[in-house]
Amino acid sequence: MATIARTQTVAVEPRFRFRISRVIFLVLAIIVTALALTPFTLTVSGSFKTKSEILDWPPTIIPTVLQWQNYVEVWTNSHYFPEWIFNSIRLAGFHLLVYLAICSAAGYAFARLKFPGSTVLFIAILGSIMIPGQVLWVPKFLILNQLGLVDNWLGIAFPDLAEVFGVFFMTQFFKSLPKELEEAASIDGASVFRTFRSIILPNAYPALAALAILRFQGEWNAFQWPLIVVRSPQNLTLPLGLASFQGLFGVNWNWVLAGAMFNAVPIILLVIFFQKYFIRSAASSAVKG
Amino acid sequence: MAVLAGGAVRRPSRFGYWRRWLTAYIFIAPWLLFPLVFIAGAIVLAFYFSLTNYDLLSDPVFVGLDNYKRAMSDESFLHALRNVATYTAVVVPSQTFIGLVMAAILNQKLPWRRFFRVAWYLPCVASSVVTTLIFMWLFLPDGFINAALNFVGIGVRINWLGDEATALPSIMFMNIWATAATFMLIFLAAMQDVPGPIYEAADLDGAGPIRQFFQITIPLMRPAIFLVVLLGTIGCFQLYDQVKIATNGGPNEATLTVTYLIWKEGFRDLNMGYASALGVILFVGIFVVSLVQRRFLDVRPDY
Repeated sequence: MATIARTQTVAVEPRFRFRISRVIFLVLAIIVTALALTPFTLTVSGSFKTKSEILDWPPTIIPTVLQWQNYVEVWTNSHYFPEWIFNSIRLAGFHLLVYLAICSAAGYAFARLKFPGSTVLFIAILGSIMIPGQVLWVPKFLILNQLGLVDNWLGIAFPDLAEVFGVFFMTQFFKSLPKELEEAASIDGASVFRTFRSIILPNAYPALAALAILRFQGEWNAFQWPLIVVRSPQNLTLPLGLASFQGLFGVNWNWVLAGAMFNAVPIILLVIFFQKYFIRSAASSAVKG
Repeated sequence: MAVLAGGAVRRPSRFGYWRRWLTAYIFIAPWLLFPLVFIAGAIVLAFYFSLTNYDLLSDPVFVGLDNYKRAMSDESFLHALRNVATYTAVVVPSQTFIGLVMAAILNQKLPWRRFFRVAWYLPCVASSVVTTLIFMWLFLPDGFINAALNFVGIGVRINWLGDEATALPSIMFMNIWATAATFMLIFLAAMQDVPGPIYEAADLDGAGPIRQFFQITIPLMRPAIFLVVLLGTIGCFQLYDQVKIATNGGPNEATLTVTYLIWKEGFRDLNMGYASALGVILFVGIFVVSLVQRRFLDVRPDY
């Protein structure tokens, strides 16, 4: 009898509590969603306002006239907008191609090829994550100055290849692959290089995709280092151009906001379509910037 | 294991070892070149230049520890330190708490949970330039923040980023908004690692959801909390983008940070030596703080 009574209370009571807490949690979730999305929605609406409406007090939430021209004007009136977009795409494209190639090779060596110094080197790599990027601004700039790469896009691209996270990420991934894959290949007489290219890499696509998305975000949004390297306006990347925008036409917030959409929309689409990769790589990299 | 190219299985030989090492180094070399120059080399140079006066035009002059002494009596640097300390003291606890609450909400089996997760994460993926520009606009005297305050009956027209009293709090607000979800992801991953049977046992013992959260979830998440506090602190010490874009350290140094000062000294005023010394101080500061936090926040989960 006692047991039955106890199961009953356990079964009834929590269900009641559960429902109330569920409503509270849902309300909280909706509030957080509103806080997260409102600035973006206001930006979209602001990017369609006319120059005078954007200065109205109190500000309107929905523009009275949809000023599509903002998106054209931002492209044509600021002298180098197309160049900025091109520079950003070139930087991100170069980085992804080269960085993924060199990181997967290095990660494979750390995971599978035993060589003298590998442990020490790996610990040094992990330790270098502790070094704040700003400490290296001056010396990196002086090195680029010697190489003649100041105000050159390669001056942004080369130092960014030193980012250590990718090697760490790929090493962990390759360690998780079953060893039998390579053993079979090497018994068949394939060289290390061949095994890597035709057996290992095809199995690494999910990890490479996650790393690619994370690094695309990093390069496409990069601000601090490009700001130090680039001097002339036609060499700016899109984020730098947008930041300079606000100085150029401080009052024309409709253009600033329309310009900002060109930087934000690609990333937002990427998150929506590749949610899983994003969340996974972001949780494992645990933040940058 | 000495299986070499060509399919021949040989005894391990000296040649075999060399060959394997060489292969490994060929795999590593293309990548290693970059950190060797731009991290290892740069660190050595940072220490060296911090002991010199160098303005790019004439040769560096060795001055010993003068740059460090100068920093200790530099009013701007001390002001920057105070700003960063205030900023960290507010932002780290806030974003840790908010991240934890967000994770706790998402960890409920709510409807539209995947939508919530993406929506909440968007502020973290937009670039710092875009989020700063958006908030500069929202924070204008005629902007939406003032409009929202007026709407709820607080009749103010504050120039948030242009006023000494409100500039730093405004930057705190925009950064908490932009980073809380990153920490939420770390907390969420940790919460999902808590073994289910522990909750079932607690259910049987009659512990309610709130008690379960504080007595099971939180104690088991101590490593994650340590990680979030550490990463949050490091991030706060490096505050730069928002200050550079929105306020340039002003008004009247109210938002001056150490990193902004490094940029200003190094790249505006060409005091490369002094900027290097400030960088080294920042590095040591971050290193010491992470050691201290490690001591005070026990990393092991508390079973």
